[in-house]
Amino acid sequence: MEKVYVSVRRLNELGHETLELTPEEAEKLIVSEQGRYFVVDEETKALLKEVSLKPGQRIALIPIARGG
Amino acid sequence: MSSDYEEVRVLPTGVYRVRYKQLTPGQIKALRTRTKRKLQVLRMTRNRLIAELDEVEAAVERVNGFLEENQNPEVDGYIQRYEEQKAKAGERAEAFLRDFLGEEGYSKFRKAGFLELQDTLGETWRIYADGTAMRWENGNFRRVCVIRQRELPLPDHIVSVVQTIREQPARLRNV
Repeated sequence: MEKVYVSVRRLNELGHETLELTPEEAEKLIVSEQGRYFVVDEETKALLKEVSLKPGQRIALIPIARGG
Repeated sequence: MSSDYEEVRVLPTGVYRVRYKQLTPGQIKALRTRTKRKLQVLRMTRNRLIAELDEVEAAVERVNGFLEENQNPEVDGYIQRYEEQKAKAGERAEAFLRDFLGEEGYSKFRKAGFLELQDTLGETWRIYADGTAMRWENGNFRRVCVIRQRELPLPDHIVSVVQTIREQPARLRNV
């Protein structure tokens, strides 16, 4: 069966909130969280600098650390 | 003329010299006034202490009620669920850290207790197992203050710091 969703794992206090979103929804989420998270492809561990997702892709949103 | 007098009294507890001072009517009046004032002060003190006691008793009731409300099985269950959820979150975060660093990197990190890496500017950093970040500076590793996101599991915090050093070290440097 063809995968239509992108799996988005967001690291937060809830302990890895995982969302199954369409590529468009995932892209909207990433844009809305811009500046707060790094977007990393879970397969390749590469940082995604351009928001262009494909169905079946698994990504992780890693919080950007801040100095105090 | 004063009719003060003194006497010696022998009591079971010892021998005493007792002086009696005769009071004039004026002194009696003054003594009465002083005694009335003293009584007034004592009554006021008693009333204040009674009022304070009432307040303390009410506070005891309030705190006791709060404690009883928080010691019921429903609240205990909530705490237990939260602790279980937190433990699972910790396990997931640890697995993610292992995956993120790779088996070899993870193993080195856990063995040494720290991870050494270079940022995009060529500077060397160390991230310790407790989440502390240090940067090589003037011949020493110096601690860099990094804010840990509230309730973020420690392995996730480490992932976050490592990724930030790799990609945007200025976020931790220019503070």
